[in-house]
This record gives sequence, structure tokens and C-alpha cells, in this order.
Amino acid sequence: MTPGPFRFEFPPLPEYLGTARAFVAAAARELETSEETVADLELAVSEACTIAISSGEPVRVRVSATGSALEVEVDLPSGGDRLEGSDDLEGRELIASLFPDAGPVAGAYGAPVFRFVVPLG
Amino acid sequence: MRTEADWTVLEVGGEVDLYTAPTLRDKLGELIGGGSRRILVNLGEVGFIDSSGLSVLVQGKKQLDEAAGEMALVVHDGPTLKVLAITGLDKVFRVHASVKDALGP
Repeated sequence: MTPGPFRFEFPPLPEYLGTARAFVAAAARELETSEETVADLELAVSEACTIAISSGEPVRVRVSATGSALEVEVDLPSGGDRLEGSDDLEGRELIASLFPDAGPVAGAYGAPVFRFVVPLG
Repeated sequence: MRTEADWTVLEVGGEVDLYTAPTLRDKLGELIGGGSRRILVNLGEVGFIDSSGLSVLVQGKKQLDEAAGEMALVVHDGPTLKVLAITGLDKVFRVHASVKDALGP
């Protein structure tokens, strides 16, 4: 069975970061990823959402599974370019260390997203 | 918070992110403002920390360094050790496995 996709959208407020992490961790555990991968995803998603929050727009997180991979996307709504060069550098470096291909890349509708892909099985 | 062997031990628990990091920053500021110069931050009960929390620790260490003080960390949790290693902060801070280990005999 391939669960999802699951979506979580929250206001651009830091108090929702813990819930976003719990959401992603629950989905990753559902797909029986290792606890180390769960921790990596929690950290990367937390950093991505922290960056997204600074855009001041609702933050959207999507989790889907293809059978061979778990994919988590965090939208950077219209703030993707503006956010370059802001003081989130350490967060971006952390994301790049954990998921070198995470982007930001172009999402399904052309808007920038962070995309975290974890092979399954 | 307690004082042992001229170290002030700051116990931190839970999750440290953009939401909770200001509380840690305030607490560290209070201690430094109150004259503490050697601060041991015990992250042993921290279940999660990201760059927002790490930034606060780095700022606190900088303040203490400038005041001829020092900051050290206690970490024994895998994910917290990993994030310190990824960011290279395990080379910036003295990291101990326990408070006992940090304070010595």
C-alpha cells in the first residue's frame, strides 16, 4: 500500500514548527524508515519551514510515497528569491549537508520548493 | 540552573527551535548579565535542536569569550551530536558526555 499524499498547511508562526516536525516524523515512521532518517527529515523540514515562515505566507508541507521513495516538499511561496542572502544561511547549509539535492528546486507549479527524497526498502 | 565548581549549569530540555530559542537566549542573557562567566549548557534532555537553537548557543559563547569566560556543552543524544558535527560546532564547543565528566573529579 502506498500511503498519502499527506498535506499540512500552517500559518507562518514558529509555534507550528513542532507540529510540522511531528507530521513528517509520523509519515516517515509509517513508511518504516530508520530512526536516523526520521531525525534527518525532522531537522531538514524544521529548517525549511523556518525559512518559509520568514516569507510571511502560509507554509505548506507535502509528504508522498511512490513505493520506492518517500518525498517531502516544503513550499517557498513567492519568497524563494527574496529569501536568498537572508540570515538563514546556517539553516540552508544544514539542509544541504543532510539532503544535497533538496534545492530549492522548481515545484510542480514552478514555484520553488525544498524537496527531500528518501529511498525506501 | 545550579552552580558547581565555579560553573553555572544550565539545564535545557524539550525542543529548541525558532519558537523556543528566544527563551534559551533570554536565560543565557540573564546568567551572563548576572555575572556567570563559566556556563555549562546541559543539552542531555533536548529531544531536538536546529540552527535557531545553535545560533543562540554560538551568540552566548561569543559573549562569554569576549568577557574572558567560557561555555561548554553536555550532549549524549545521537541526533544532537550529529547536528553539532554537521555544523562543525563540535570543534567550536567543548562537548562532554555528562555533567560529571564536564566538572571533573
